[in-house]
Amino acid sequence: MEKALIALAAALAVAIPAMATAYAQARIGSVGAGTIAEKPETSGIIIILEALPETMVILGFVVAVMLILQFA
Amino acid sequence: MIRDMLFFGLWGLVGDRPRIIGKLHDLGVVHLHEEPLEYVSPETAAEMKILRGKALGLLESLGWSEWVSIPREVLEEERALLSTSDETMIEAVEESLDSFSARLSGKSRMKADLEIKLNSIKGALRTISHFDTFIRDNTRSGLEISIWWAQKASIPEPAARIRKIVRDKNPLEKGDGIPYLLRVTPGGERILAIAYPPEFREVVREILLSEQCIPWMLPGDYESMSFREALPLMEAALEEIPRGIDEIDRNLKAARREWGPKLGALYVILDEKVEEALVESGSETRGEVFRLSGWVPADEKDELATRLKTEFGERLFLRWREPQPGEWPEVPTSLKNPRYFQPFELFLKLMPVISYKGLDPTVLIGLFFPLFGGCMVGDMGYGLVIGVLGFWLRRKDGRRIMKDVGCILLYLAAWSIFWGAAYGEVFGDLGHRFFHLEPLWLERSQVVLPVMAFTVGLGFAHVFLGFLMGVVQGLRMGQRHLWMERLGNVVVFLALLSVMVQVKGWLPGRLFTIPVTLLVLGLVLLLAGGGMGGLVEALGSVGNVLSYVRIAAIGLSSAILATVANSFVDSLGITFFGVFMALAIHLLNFALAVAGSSLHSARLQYVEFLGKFHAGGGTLYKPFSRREPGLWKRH
Amino acid sequence: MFLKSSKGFPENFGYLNARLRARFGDFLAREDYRRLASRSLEDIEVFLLDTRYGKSFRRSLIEQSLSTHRKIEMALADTSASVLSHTRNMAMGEPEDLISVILSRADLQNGRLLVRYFFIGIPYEMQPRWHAYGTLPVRFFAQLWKSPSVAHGIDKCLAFDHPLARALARALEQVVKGSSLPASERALLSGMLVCQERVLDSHRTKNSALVKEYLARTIDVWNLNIWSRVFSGVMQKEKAAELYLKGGFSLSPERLQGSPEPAGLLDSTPWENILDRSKGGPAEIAPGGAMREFWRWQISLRRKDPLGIEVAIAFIAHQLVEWRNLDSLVVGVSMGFEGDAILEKLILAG
Repeated sequence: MEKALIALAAALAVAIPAMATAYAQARIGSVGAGTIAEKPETSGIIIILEALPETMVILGFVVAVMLILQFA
Repeated sequence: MIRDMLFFGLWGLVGDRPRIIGKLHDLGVVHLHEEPLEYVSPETAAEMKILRGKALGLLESLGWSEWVSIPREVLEEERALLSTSDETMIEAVEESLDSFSARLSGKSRMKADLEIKLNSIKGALRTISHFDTFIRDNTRSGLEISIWWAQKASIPEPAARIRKIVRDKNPLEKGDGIPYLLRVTPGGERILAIAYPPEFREVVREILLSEQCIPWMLPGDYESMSFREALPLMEAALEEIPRGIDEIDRNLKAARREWGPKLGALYVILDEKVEEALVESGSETRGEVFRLSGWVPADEKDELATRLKTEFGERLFLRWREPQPGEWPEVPTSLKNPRYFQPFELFLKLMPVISYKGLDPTVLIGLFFPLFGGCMVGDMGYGLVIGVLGFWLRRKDGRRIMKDVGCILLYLAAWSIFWGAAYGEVFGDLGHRFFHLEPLWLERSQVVLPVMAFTVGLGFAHVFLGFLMGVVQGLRMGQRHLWMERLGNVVVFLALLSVMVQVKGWLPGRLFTIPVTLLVLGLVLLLAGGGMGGLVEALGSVGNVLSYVRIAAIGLSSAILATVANSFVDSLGITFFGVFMALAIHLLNFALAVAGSSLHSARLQYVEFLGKFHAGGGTLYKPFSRREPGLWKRH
Repeated sequence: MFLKSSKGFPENFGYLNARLRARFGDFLAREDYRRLASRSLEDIEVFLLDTRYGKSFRRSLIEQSLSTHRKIEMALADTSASVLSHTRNMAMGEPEDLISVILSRADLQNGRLLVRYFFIGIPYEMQPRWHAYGTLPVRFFAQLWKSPSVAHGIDKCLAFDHPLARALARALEQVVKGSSLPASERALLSGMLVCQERVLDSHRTKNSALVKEYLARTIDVWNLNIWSRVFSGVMQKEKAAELYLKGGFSLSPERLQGSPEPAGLLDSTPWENILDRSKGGPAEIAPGGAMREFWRWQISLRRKDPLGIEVAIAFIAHQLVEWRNLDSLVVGVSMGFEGDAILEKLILAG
């Protein structure tokens, strides 16, 4: 039971930021696609903006790994 | 590396001006000073612009765009033809363009008319098809038929009135003498077909008009005919008109084939002439002398000077000098990197142009991009396939961008194989199963933490390097805030590093003052350079370093997916389905590995690394040169 | 939250608005108009070749029979139509529907031209300059123009089988019945408004509410035009009462009927800027002022909500205003007017 809860916590640590990232990236992505279509020279900046929310998932992943390594 | 540029000034005789400008156009190395947009071009340039517009307009109407296929000899022929006196040339070209466009627009108009006719016949036949049987039956019984848009009219009532009139005039007529049929269109409009003896045409018309019905009509050419006469003619036209359209299309296609390359070459030469005329008008004239200025890469100076002096000798005076600090923002930026790193200039094309005194990160991107990407793929098998893909791309297409991508993939492949050896992976665990291959470093799907720690270390070094570049950039550009803030970050990073070293016990405890001093110094620099924003950015940099964990995370998922693919053969045996599933998952994993590793590695370059020092604000080096066929862009 | 957002197509608004916002930079600046106003028609030709009007202008350059003036007019109309149609093509779902409603202004303009043509009843072979960015194709209007009688026209409208074409048929029926021109035009406007309201009813969002406001302001403009005819003594008050449309944004038929003076009618409404009080006398309504004000309001929406329909409304208005401005400029230059006199006639936004 305890292991299951730890697994659930680790899953949530990745899943919730992943959903939040997906939501943010969908918004930024559509705007970015429109901007790049008109001004291709902004591609680099748009990739940066599109990539920013990803950090949430990476941090979530780190937390999940820590949870598993510490408690499981 | 950013090429050194020199200011270039040229004084020549006005009489030599067209030839000198033509020569500069041929040599194609001078980035001329841009003149402000001027609407009033010199008269000849304006006329040539209109001609150029006409030529391109004709090409667009013909639907021709095969610029690459313009034969060189046609281009040279046109160039020789247009080298005569401009006045005569313009008139002759204008005349021939006008006569060609008259023929072309005549054909296009004819085609458009035929299409309209065809559509209206199709529409009419569609409506008639609703009443097919009704028309056939009643025409056979000698009745005339008309079709009406019936609005709010109640049809039985006017039909009864008509029937009564018919019966009054002709008592022998049977009760059902006035048949009608009502249909409703998808849009809700009601269409009425009514049949009656021909002599009652006017009566029917009057009654239905009084009931707010509106006559439905056959298309223009058939309007005065009866259905019996019009239908066969319309059906014949339905077959004939497409043939006419095809014939016109064939003619247009032949014209496109014959005239396309000639008109294309004419456009190219006119375009060159317009450019030269504009440069000519932009040059400063004083009496018999004119002046042109611009920027030239320092390594092109000798070649340019020799070529110009050989042709024009003492009738030309050249001057060179280094750009002054005040001119830096307008000096164009041209990159020149070692051959191995040139493909990585692609990354900078997606960013604002680096300023002349900025730092060119191409070499560093060339080192780190494939290193990170390869670390994520980390599989010798996949690396080999990426290599084959890169090799194929380099060979396949003549386009520069494809060759560059191919090259980058080859480097990615090399690093993937290197990391694959470190992790002991060939298509997942196949290497271990078949050849008892052991990892040179560790098995990343089993031991996660060391890989994570390694990637964080990698991130620390990469971000640290970015900050160091930022310090250099700030000093070069004379931006005090920039270098102080970046230096603050460098010092804070050093403080963090020394804390970690201390925590590990690699340094004696009494040296704890070192990290504290560094931290204080770093914070002071951060505050002085960027204020509170500087402090926030320093916190963000810690997030930047952690962001490199993605290298481990993506690599881990790729390794596990590859093992899962192989386990299908374990559970399903060496059957068709088992092998198919394994291959399908490997394919998916490969696609994810290539796309994921490239994107994430690119992100690490753009966000975590370039973000620390890259500043745009430069001007792209655009030499005044003749464009290669195939690179023509429409104006 | 996700379901609610996906219903309103926020992603498409983001994509569309990003593209449109990037294109705002393509519009001519005040300085461009100032320079062009003092140049010749030939200079305007060369200038247009280097702008986004270049492609259409090249097409009209190869048309032999046209004068320079007409060639430029054609290029302006073609480019504007393709820019506006492309705006609609970039959208999908709710944004597409809303933009279609705004762009069906073209159907209204074309319909009006036809109603007037049939009302006058004198056949004229040369086609007018159609607005080619609406829902109904230009081909449809061009064929109607060729109709030998109103009855033929109505027949073609009904055969086309589209709600907007049916609205035009009802307006043409008014012509057949002998109604006045304003009454026929009123039938056209109200018929088209009904179709557009039906489209808007399928989207109950903040964006569709704004487009409803746009339609309501269109009604205001119509009503104000009728009212100003009464005010200038061209039309009787009773006749005008039959022509006012209900559902305006800020001017109800009752208010219009009960206000004898412009100040009383427009004070404290969004239209009060059109009052011309410059002469020191009682306030007047500046000619064309309502439409100018309507344009200004649309353009002012540009920065209101970067993820809403506001950007598209402002973009469309900006394009139409630029078209109108360049048209006026070309006419002014070809008639030899002074630069300043031409500039006075333009709507210079931003």
